[in-house]
Amino acid sequence: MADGTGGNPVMRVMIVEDNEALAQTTGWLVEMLGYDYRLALSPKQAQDQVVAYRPDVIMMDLGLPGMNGYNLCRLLRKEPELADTVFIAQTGWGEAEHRRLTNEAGFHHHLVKPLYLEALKDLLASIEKTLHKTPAER
Amino acid sequence: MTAMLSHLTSAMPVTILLVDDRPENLLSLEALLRRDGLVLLKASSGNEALELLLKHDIALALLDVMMPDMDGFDLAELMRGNERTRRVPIMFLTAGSSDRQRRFRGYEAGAVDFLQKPLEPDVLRSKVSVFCELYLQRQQIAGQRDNLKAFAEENLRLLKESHRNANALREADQRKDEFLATLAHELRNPLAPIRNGLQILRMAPDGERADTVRDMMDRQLTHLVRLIDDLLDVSRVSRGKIDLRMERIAIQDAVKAALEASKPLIDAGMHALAVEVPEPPLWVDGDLTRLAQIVSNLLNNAAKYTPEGGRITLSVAPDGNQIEIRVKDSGIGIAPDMLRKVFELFTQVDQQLDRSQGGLGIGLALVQKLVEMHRGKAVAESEGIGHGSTFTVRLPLATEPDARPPEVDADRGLARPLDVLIVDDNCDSADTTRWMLELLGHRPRVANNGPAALIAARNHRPDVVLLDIGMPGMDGYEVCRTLRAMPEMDPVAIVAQTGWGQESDRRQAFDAGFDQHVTKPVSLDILTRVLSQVGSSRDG
Repeated sequence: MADGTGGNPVMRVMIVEDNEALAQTTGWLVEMLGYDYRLALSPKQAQDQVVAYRPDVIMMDLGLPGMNGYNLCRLLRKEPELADTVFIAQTGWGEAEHRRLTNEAGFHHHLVKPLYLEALKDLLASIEKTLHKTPAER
Repeated sequence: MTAMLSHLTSAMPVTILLVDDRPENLLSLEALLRRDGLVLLKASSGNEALELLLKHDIALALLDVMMPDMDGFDLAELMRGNERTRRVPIMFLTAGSSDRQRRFRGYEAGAVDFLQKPLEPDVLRSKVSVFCELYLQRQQIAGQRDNLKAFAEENLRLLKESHRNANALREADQRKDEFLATLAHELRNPLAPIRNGLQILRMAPDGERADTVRDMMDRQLTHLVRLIDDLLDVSRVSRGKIDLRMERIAIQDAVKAALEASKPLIDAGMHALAVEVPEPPLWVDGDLTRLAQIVSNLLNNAAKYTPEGGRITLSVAPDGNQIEIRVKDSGIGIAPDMLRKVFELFTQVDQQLDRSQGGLGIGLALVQKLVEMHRGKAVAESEGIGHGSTFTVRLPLATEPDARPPEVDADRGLARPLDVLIVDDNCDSADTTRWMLELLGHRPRVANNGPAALIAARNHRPDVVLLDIGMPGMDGYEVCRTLRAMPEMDPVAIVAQTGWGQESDRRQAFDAGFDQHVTKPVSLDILTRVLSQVGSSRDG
């Protein structure tokens, strides 16, 4: 478990979700799994905070106010600082078509709401494992 | 022969043209042929004959050959040359002997027969009747052809209509698919945080955060129940099955309830709300809950379609013999072509706004239906996109009631402990109800099917039976009737618990012998009230 004492910093997860109850509870779950989290309730908040926070993982809702998750993902993937960030689409839509669209937009993973804790735990753990390897090891 | 002719009378009349320059000949011909169903037209010259031929549909022409100016043959030739008359059969009537050459000319001109004067009445009648028959058969065939044509046209029309219907169905089907997808999405919105909350509580069941999580889950669940209630309302509306509980009420009471219901959404959008409602009560005949729903749906709509920090004004004013309720917002407005459509079911103005407040597109449809059921009118107005919207509802103003009915306060006193039998095939539902009742200090017991319920009731004589209606095998109605048939169960209060909250379901429940009817999910408040009513009636 990366707890900040073993030399490696705690994995940082940014949650982009406009449903506040869902954002907050997801944040708490991420925290309980031993990671750091930051909430962004709109694409604008995400854009404002993302460079300063330097998240290792961004979990993103697709239906967002102002700009949808696909476009926000495309935009953020262009940031040089986020080159190693893993993008997870979190959506109520589980159809193959939506998976294809998230893939095209540059998401690495696609999770369907409601979230299963085990699935989230496994996914974040596997991402964490690849984090502290050198690029050659990945 | 007469028989043959007479049967023509039942059909359409047949017209025969008689042409002779001598009136007495025409008269005698007419006398010979006159029958029901036969129309005899007389012409004393070729020109007269041609005129009649152009005006009437002629089955047979009897032509005298020897006529001044235009003789029979000339007339026949003219008839051959005209499209309308060329197929009319011609029978020549000749006086005296006619030589071969003359006859030949006659046939050339299109004659079908020659009759020698003086005419043999029987022969004449017989021949005429044959031509009449032929004519009728031809008409019949033409009629059949027309029928076939009409039939083919009808088929074509039906085919086109079914194409149209298929298209309409496809469209409706597509709208339904879109609606179901939206519905699934909307249901997941509150479900997702509820599941997260459960997982958080499982890992950390105590502490301040757990309280926050529980409050959140309560709110999300309320939202979920609200969505499902709206869905059921829509289905009732589309089947015309909403029951109004009409009473004379002050519109201010409905407005107050609506403001309470819509406040969270208005606050969430950080909108400034102005309320302009006069102090003296404005009376209306209506269903308090439904009138509150109308106003609340309009307020929610304004809150949803207004960008953060907007202005919403709710005003109520008398206007002649009407009450005018107006909700005005500074929101995204409505395009002119959408103004009429906003009240249609499943319509959602294309929104760039916050999707999590999207809803199902049924709020305004419900508003319109409910307003109409109150003999009122709902209108949407907007100066266009970006210029805000105004929704106005007009309801008939009622006169002040003689005296306000005294407000009955539900007996909220502590219930005395009761023996409660919970009957539900859904174990989770039964167990959670049992836990709630234990927390309230009652003595609950669970049976998971009808027969087990009957045994438990006989052995333990409960004060109250909480009975689920939809159970496999023996349903709640049957359990209730069986219990009511047992004399020793007479004092038992039986409460129906169902997912169906319609008036007809209530009636059916009371018919089966239930004392009370509550709709699932049953909140702790309702359970407390129902049991305290049972408790106090037992005491009294």
